[in-house]
Amino acid sequence: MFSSDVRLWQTGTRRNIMKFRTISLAPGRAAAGMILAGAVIDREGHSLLAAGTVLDASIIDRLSRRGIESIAVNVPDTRSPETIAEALRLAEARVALIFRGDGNAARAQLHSAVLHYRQEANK
Amino acid sequence: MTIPALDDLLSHADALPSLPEIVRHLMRSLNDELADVDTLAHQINADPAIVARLLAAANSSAFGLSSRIESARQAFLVLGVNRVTGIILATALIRRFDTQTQDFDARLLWRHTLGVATCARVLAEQTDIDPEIAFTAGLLHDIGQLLMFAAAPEAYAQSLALRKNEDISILLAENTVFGYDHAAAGGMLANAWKLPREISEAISAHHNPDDYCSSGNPLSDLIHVAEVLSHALDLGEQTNNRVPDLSERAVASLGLSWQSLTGRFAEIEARYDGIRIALGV
Repeated sequence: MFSSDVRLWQTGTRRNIMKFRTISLAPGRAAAGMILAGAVIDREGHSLLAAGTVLDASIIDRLSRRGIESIAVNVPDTRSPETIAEALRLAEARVALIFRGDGNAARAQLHSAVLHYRQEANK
Repeated sequence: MTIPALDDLLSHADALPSLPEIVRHLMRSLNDELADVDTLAHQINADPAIVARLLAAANSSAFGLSSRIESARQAFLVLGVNRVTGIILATALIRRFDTQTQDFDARLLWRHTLGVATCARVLAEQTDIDPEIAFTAGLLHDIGQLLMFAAAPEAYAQSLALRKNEDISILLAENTVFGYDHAAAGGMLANAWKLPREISEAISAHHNPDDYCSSGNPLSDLIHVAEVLSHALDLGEQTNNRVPDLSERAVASLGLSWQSLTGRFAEIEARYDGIRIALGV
């Protein structure tokens, strides 16, 4: 997971706000109805599917058959602010734990990259 | 408690099951652009246990296929030679070396090696290194731990306890108890198994590639970076995971940049999840 966005839509007189987040999955973990967050590119660099494609069983099947090991999809983000804050706190604590102790400069750069990734994933 | 010298370690290699013949063959075919599906499928069919595991993995939820795969040939055609080769190598190794005792659980080791293999494959895709050779080297990089445990289970259990209790690296713990470490032991075993030279060098160098950089083997640098990245992304790691030091030279020599690689961390995690499910570890 590495991004989120907010979309608005009208239902009668009510205005709803739906927040989405992007997650990465093995094709077998995907479900019909999920929406591709980005184009799917195969190993040879061919674009197989465009961003915005709605997945169904047939598409998921074809992705596996084409050797695709990971896809990014947008899913509704139904987490409460408290849940997100707790997930972020746990993620930052885990990163601090596994990077405990002294290390060299290259390790420190990796530490920064992983921490940034976890923070973005838990926004 | 008897601790074998490094030079005597291979005499204990008989305690380890031999590398399955199909694994040796697949390693050779990794470099063979002429290897064809029918020949590979024919050879795999000679080992029904491997066929059964291949079909179980191919039909697992990891791939989400709508129809069942019924044969090794069909698996090659549907999933591709590279992916099936990776699955066969991993399943053969994991099942063949399935040690589980109170002191040593090979399953935990295989989860880590799958993480390193996945990172190695993704990193290789950013370089000129063959991703399948990188995956194989990742799978084998800790084979020295299995040899040391097979040769001296009590001493190896002591190393694991020392690592945990003192919160030190496995390398330091092994060196304290044995006087050598699993990278040296693994490289020696890989030579004895006559694995490709670049893979045995990568096994020897995966913790200290700067000591081996004169060999000019980029696979050694790649497996080292994959090892550290797998720890950093916590792929299959234990609660006491600690990220080891990273060679700045290795990262630079491969032309890798964390700025661009961060965008692939989620993909690495998803690919690791998929292969872990497929292999049932």
